[in-house]
Amino acid sequence: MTTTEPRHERPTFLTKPVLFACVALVAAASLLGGPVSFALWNDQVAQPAQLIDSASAISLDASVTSSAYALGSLSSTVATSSSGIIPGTRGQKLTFAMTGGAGNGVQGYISGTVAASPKSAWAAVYTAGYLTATATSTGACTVNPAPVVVSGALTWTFSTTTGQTVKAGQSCTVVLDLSIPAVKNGVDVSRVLRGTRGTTTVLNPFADFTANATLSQVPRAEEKP
Amino acid sequence: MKKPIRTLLGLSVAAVLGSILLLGGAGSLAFWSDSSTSATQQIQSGSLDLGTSSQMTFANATIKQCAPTCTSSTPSVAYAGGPLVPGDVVTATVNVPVTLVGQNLKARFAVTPTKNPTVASAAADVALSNAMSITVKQINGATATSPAALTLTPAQIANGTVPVVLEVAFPWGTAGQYNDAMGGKVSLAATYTLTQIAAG
Repeated sequence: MTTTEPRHERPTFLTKPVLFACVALVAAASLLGGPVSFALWNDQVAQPAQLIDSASAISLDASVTSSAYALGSLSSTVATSSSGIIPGTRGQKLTFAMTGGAGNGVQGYISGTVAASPKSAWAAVYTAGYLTATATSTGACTVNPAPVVVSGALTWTFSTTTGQTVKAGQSCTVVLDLSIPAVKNGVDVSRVLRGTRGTTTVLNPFADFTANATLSQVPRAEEKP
Repeated sequence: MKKPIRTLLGLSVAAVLGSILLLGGAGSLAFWSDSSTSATQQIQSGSLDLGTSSQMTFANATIKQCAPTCTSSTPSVAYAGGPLVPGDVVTATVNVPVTLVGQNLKARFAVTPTKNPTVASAAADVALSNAMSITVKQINGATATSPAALTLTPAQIANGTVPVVLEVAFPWGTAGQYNDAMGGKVSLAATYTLTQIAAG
């Protein structure tokens, strides 16, 4: 003999309305949730991009030229080459030109140094004070004629002349006149330095001269016409 | 004898019913009446709208230089659209067309400025984009908040536009700080959003 469990009828009279209500609720929530169906109004627009350029580079070119010239003083020393310093006879002029780029969109202040690092063989030129160096400047900068020793190198500083700026294409020039006298404080300098002089084909430099300059943008309010 | 009486009664009942039916017709009521239809009253929907993007360009742009900072007396001149250098600050006004129609309409007007390197792979463009800033200074004459937004009503909109003052700044920086931005290009834009808010 078998017994059967009583069947539990699904309460359809409850589930259908509940189901419909749920569906309606979900639909309503979906409609409300979509941005396009918000009751409030809105609008949005993007402005077309505006292009802004940065100015092209501010630049500074540096160059150096060298020339020899005869000293006015008398000397028995005979020149052995067409260039180079000869005590009492020939001096040498170094011209450093720093030029602002032609396309510079702004004016600038310049500052820098010309440094002469002595070669070991010619240290006496410095230590004994045989070298005469005169610094002058032209253009948009002024050089301090009194050098200072920085890291063993004679160093001249220069900077923008007060009231001026370096405009596009404008130059600042620093000129060093270098010479060695034939006699200094009763010493025959030519004779002292004779052992370390160069030859016609092989010069014996006594220092490396290097210019280092920086051009910095000036505020527009400080630009000059 | 019964049959004629029944007939008479039936006829009487029919006559009474007929009278009632006749009296029930509206056109035959004894009292007066009239009817009329009012003129049509139209109810219109309001409007909330921003103009088209082609109407939004930088206008009345001026340029000044803040090296490194500016004061109220720092002079500014008309900006001709040339390249910028460190310290330059360009101020421009964008007159955004706004339509607000509705007695109870109130809307939040928001501005989101954007900047992007014109060429994403160009180092100078990226450097310039990083260096520059674009900020909203004023909306409809009021100092902008952060984020830049303002509540507007129809009465506050003059000439159908809302002026938005934008400021593009290329900082002065330190010596050489923005050298990598030389020759760069940056694209500046802004997104304007108008959203209705509760009038209360």
